[in-house]
Amino acid sequence: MLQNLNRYKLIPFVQFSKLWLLISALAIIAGAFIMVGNYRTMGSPLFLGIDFTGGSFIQLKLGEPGNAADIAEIAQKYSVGEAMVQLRRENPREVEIRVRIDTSEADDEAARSELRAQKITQMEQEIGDKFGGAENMEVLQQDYVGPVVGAELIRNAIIALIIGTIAIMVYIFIRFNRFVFAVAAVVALVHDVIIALSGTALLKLEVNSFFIAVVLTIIGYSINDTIIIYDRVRENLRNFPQINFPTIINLSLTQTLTRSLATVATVIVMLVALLLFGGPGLYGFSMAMLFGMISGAYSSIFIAAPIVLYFTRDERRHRLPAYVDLVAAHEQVATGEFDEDEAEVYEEKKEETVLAPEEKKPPEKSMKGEPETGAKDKAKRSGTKEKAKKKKKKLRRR
Amino acid sequence: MNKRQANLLLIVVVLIIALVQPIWRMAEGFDVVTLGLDLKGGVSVVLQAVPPMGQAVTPEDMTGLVEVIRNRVDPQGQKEVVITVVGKDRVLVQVPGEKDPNAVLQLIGKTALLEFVNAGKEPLEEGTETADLNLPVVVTGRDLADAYPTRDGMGRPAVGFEFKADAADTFGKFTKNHVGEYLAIALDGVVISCPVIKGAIWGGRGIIEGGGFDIKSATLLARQIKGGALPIPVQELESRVVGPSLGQESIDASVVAGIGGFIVILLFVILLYRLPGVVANLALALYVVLLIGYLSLFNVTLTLPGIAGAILSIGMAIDANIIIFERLKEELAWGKTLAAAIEAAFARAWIAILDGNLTTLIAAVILFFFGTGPVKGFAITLSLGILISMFSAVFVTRFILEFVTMRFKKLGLYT
Repeated sequence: MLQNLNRYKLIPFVQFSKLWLLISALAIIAGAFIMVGNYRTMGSPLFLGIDFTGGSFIQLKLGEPGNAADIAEIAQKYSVGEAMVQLRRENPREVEIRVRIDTSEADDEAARSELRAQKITQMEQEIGDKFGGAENMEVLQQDYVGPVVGAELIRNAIIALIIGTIAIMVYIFIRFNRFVFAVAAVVALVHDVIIALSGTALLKLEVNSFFIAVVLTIIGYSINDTIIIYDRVRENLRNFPQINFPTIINLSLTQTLTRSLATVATVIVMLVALLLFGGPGLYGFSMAMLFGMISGAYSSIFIAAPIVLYFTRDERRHRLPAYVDLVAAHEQVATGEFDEDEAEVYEEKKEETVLAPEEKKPPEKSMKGEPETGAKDKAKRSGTKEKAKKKKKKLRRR
Repeated sequence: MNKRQANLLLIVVVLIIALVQPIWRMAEGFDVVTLGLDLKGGVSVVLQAVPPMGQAVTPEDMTGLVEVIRNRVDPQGQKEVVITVVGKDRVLVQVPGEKDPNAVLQLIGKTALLEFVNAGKEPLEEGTETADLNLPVVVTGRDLADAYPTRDGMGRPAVGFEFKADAADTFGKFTKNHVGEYLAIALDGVVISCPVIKGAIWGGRGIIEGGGFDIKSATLLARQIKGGALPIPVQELESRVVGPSLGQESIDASVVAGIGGFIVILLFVILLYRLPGVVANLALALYVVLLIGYLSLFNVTLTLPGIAGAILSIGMAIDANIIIFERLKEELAWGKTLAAAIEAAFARAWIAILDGNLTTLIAAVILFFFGTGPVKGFAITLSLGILISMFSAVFVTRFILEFVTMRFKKLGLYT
């Protein structure tokens, strides 16, 4: 089994886990700042669509290019509160209007509906007349959402999110039988949702009822990479009982790296295609999803795995620090080819090949675990003979 | 029949089942997949029943509501209007192809119009529309003080009514002058009863008989007249209108995006995996065909989010192949023979694929239960995509791969 590991050049993921966590923490803090900023300017951390706020959303295609200020002036006459008008950048004939139609004259619900419909028609006519004639105007879209719906949506979204997260946590726990795995996976998921929200806040993407679909899909999908990695960790734990846990993590991440990246790449390809060609209707969907998917790939590798490591009570957890080059030595022990002379040569060779690139690493390398690793490494090498023999015995007992 | 032939048969059967419905639909001139209103264009309105204080909404109220709305929006039953009760106290009205949203809204929201029309010497048949006849209207439902279910002289259900004072006077004078002529009673412009005037009716009381009343419909009509509106007051929760051109634009744009992304993935996979990549691409093409076929077969209504989900699922469907092929590379590198490596790779990768797909499926199912309208469409499309991808990416890929390696024994897979 062990000789299978020859071909892997372990990537020191675990050694830099604090850096990875720091990057995530910074991204989340930045997201929080963006949301606070949005709250100050827009009154809510995200740009909420009428699904949440209530009101009317009207999209018109005018006879000739419109003028936002003039249209807003017309819309304002029919509106309670401020009317928001936006021209489509690619086509100034298309205009989006967000208003809350004033229906205070009506005295019951039915009359209110009727009055709203009348006033909207009237408003559309007036705007159409001003820009190229009402007969050349086309109503592309006209939505109204009452005040009740938003609260309900938020409630349903939160319930769905909680149930989804718990369901996935339970699933992981059942499949992998380790609570740490489940918790780490959920932390990674929460991370992804926060990043997706931050991206949405940053680009001021409109959040509508469909956003919950985006979030749940991110959750359901980005867990896949995590599962692939967990699956490999479990397999490696079983196959290589002599390798310490941090190295197992490094090994598993290295082995699964290509597929983690490739699977996310294909989804990103589709999302980018949707962004480029999918039209304005799917822009917010694709963009938010893109943030979530990229974050999902990152968190599976750089968040879930280190958390598993930190919280594992596995006996192998603290026995040895993580090595990049341990595998070769282990291999020789396991295959019985271990010979002290040869081992020394091997160790020296390893020292050249593996330690050399490490020296090039930037100063982050001087994190806590590192010098320790080096020290133990040296200690081990100085007493090669005894240690190797001990190890040999230990391995045979297993 | 050996196992390989059985597998081939299964694949062919699954494919044929997928093709039947789309081909039939195309031959009949329908859209291959049922399109939602956001793509086809049309009006959809959600109404919330708001019962008067202290009253609960009964299922009968809701069926009554649906009936009345149907009569108003689509009296001839010609449009493909879909009116459904959502949950306990909501009604969803969908009018495809409608260009004037506000007309529909006003139609739904309008009050039930009861008219007593002077029909002249000849009786009008039930179901006749009064709008084009230009008959003089004597009094209307607005002139009624009360309406209640009752029974006629023969004990059949009927609707009793009582006029307000001045209307009672008008009605009395009219009946006095038109004895022997016919009086048409029309609801929302359609005659429901046309009795002969036997004598002057003073005192402002009367009953509407005929119209094939049973107790339920008599009660409903009485309430409608009294309420002057729908059997139960409703509130417009939300309404969505999509013009026909926007929907078409969305479809065109997403088809372009889908094809573009699909081609890039095909190239990406071939570049990464060579021969197995070609096999995976075959399976992916099959996936797209199957997805469309089964969306059509199960009559899933495709919404814009649904299309987005379908396109996204193409990128997810290939994942299983990537997982398998990466494993295959490893198994080969570990020195297994090709056949053994394929066996091991599929066995090992299958667990991970199943895990991954089940979690996505869990999310989709939850979404289905908590989502509304288009979000449900997205959840269904995503779920269907996951199930089909497990078949195409695992089962079909394996079948083709084993077939190819058996035929061309010396083929290097990754060369």
